Amino acid sequence: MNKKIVLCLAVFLLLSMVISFYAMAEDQAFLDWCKSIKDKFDGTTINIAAHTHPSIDAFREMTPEFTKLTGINVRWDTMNELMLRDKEMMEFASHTGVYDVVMVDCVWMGEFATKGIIINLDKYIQDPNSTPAWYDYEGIIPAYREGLAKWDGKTYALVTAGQTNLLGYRKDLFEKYGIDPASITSYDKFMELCKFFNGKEPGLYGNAFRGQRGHNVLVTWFTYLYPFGGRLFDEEGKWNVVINSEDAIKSLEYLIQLSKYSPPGFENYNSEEQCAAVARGDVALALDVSACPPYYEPEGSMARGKMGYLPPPAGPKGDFAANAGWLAGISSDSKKQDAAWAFMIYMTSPQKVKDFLAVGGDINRTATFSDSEVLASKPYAKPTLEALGKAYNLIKAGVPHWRPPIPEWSKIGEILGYEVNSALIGEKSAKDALDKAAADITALMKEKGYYNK
Amino acid sequence: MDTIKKVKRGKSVTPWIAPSIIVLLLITILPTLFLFYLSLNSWELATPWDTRKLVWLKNFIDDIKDEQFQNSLVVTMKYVVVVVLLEFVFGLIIAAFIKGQNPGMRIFMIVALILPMTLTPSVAGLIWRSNFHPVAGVVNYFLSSLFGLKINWYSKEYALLSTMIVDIWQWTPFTSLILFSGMEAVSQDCYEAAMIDGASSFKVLTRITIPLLKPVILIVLLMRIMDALKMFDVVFVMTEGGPGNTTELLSLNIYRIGFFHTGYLGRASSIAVILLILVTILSQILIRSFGAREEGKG
Repeated sequence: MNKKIVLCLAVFLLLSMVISFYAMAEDQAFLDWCKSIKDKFDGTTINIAAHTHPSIDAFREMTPEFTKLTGINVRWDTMNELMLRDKEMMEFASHTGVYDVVMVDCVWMGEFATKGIIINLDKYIQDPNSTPAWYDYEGIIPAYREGLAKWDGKTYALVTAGQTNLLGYRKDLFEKYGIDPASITSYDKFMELCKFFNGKEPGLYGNAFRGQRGHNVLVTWFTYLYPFGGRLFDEEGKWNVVINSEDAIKSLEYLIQLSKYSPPGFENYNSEEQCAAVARGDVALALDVSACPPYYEPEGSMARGKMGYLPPPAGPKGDFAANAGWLAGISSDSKKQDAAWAFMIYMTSPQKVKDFLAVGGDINRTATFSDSEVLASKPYAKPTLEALGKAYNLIKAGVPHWRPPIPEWSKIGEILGYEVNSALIGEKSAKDALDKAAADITALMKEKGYYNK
Repeated sequence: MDTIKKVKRGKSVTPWIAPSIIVLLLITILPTLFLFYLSLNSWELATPWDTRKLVWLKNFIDDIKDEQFQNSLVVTMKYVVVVVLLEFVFGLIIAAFIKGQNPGMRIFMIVALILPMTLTPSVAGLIWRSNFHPVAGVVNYFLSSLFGLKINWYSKEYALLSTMIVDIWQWTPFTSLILFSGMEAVSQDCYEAAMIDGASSFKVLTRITIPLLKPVILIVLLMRIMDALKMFDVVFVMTEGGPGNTTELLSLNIYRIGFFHTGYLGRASSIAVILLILVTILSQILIRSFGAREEGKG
């Protein structure tokens, strides 16, 4: 018996040593790479166009160490996500070459790739000198790597903040009223609880969501659209617009009903304001993207340490979640593309995952989900993994993209974002708004030649 | 040859004003001509220049048919009429009030009035966006504490009003100061004569102050109408034109169509041309109506 224990211990120790040596060798390889980068690019300055987001805050925190190790200076130009696209397009239109790294919403991928705003990264990924083995490119979550970063079979970006949906709830309120959060398995139950908590305590509302016209309200509505059976197009490739189907109308009516249990002003809420409503302790529930938790519970927040997280509930016609996120690409006008690539792989490397998560970054690598340390310190890690399973359900159901990243998306988003917001504020009925949106999107797709292909 | 002779004799002015004409040509006239040219084309942002297509007046026809453009036109008109009128009335009252104060109080009031104007509009927009926050804003805090009122300033009913309040808050000091300086230039004898004749304060205002202030009033109204027609930053920061399109002024409509997730630069240019024509027509009407009255008086 003793011999067996000793043998087990010996094997365990041996394995630990092998793993440690392997990790040390990898770390050494990473440090050697940093040194080689410093030899090549010491004193170089790269400029980055970025959006306000927890992942960007995290990268900024990590930047001084990056500069110390590689000698590359980084200038950040951070702005609201909606202004970012305009800024990047304008810089490209005038070919200023100001930015080297540009952050890209996954849904802009088609437009940015076809217009040539960002470069094809395959040459870097396939070159072992540019992408050493320790980077473990295959370790990036496949849904993000294959589903978000590619256009027309080519890779144009690296994922910096992969996102799905998460349902945040106030643990203290659920405990106080004896409600089991695990009971939120359907959207009916979600609505019932939003109604229950609305006004239950002074200044408390059921839920908060982003209702601002355009991108924000669209991200909110798409969370409900698919589980209710709605679709934007019948099929990618055929492009018949079905956004005014009965199911889609029901999903919008559901959102309109939900708005009755939201704080006043929701119709103008962007991401920051939605997060602030949760952080102020104004709401009991919030269903949004998985990047939100660091903004829900910042230091000094009324909700700090009181939030629990769940994957989104199942809808009447499917158990789906978002597959979306932010990526980093290299500007085609950049004169420092190699230094930009070095920055991108440093920040998204497995060696920096824990640093990234510690300062509010998102989970982008598969291995992170099996790291017990991460699972213990980040209560949203496990629900995020479950939600990703629901995102995969959508792909299995024949919808490869939560929002199709075609070059026309921005215009489609503008049309839909306006109509959905109009319905939310009571200017139009859900049916009228979606009928108008369907007609306008069909006209746009026709104008762009989608039905002649 | 003649010009050289004139220059030598010091009579020709052309060489002296040429640099300013060249600068003006480069920074205002050429971009405006380019705007006109762009408005006749269909061209999308970040696509090669060669892909543009001459569509003549199609952009203008599309604008006129577009419900959102029509709405923006109405919203802009409401905005301009309300803010300019109230800024003028409040400005006149404040100017008359300052005039009646002692020198120390006058300096204090002038300094206090200058403060809102020194704020960058985007900063003013940000401050007031927080102030008008329906749940956490200071405006609703006072309204609910004093009157038990809680207004949703972000709603379709109040969003436009909230942006108007900010404009009035920021630019009434401007009208006050200009009108006050105009009042200071009016001879004291007129007021003394009116007082001897027993004129009431209202009569002094309508029969002496306002008629004598006409040139100043014209400048104030012109500047404020032009500024209000072009208003962008405060409204963009506060509401981004929403909810729906209840606060989408023409300038925001131009930005949304030209840049904000769409990129139709031809269409945006055509709306910019319409705005330019509108500003020019309104200013001309104002100048002519004031000018005609001045001539009639003479």
